[in-house]
Amino acid sequence: MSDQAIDNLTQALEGEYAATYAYGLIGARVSGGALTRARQALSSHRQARDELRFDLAALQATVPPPAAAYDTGGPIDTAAQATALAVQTELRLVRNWAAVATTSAGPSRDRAVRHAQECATRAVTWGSPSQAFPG
Amino acid sequence: MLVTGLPSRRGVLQAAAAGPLLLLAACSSDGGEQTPDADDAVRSDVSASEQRLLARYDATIAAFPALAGKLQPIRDQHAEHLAAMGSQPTNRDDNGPAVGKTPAGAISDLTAAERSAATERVKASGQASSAELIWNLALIAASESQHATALARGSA
Repeated sequence: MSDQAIDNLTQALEGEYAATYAYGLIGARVSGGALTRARQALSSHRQARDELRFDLAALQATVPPPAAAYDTGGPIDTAAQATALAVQTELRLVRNWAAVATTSAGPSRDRAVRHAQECATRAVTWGSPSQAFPG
Repeated sequence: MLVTGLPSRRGVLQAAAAGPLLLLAACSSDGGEQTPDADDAVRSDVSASEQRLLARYDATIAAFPALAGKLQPIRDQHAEHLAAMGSQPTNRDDNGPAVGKTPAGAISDLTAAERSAATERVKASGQASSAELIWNLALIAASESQHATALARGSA
């Protein structure tokens, strides 16, 4: 496994840590259907985080711990700020997963592309327009 | 579907008439390569799929002009996908693909087409070799998933 592959997995893990942190804040600021979506997203990102930790450990690479806090680009005090953070978080992860795809093969690459699709789709459910090259 | 061997002038013209898919394959042999490499085959397949999607959007917009505001941005994103595969949209001589009888039916058909395309792109990314092509296909796969969701949600 190349250093680049490990670097891409590590970056994706950082993105998933940041997403897990972000959805904790998002869930506190939204309600109704949005809260349900935030909970589902949190669950998906936790699972992706665990997969990445497993993959890095299996490669005997360093598995970084999560930071205490992640930059949210400003206060998350309103539903609108929470929604904007959700879009930004998901779109950044699309690029992380596409990068993982470039340095993986077979089922691992398929899985990375599907993660990119899921993050891109969630961005749309949070109000992002579709993009030709999301992220 | 792929043109093998050095194309004759007539062959290139026929390929041009048939669409950029074949033209792309033909052009790739200019450097003396007898057979397009595997990534060229992937690009050709994805280009053909994107051309079909473009034709469906054009036919749907022509049939239901009121949908243009919603569909044109998505249609234009497919044109960007096509460009990333090294192809250009072609004008079709025929009447284009069939369109659903109602706007809702037409949207539903496009949603299904986007879902299929998104699944095809995952497979295509698995067949690609160069990092650049894998990257582009991963993002195109993500884009088409967004399209399916946006169409199903009633927003673009």
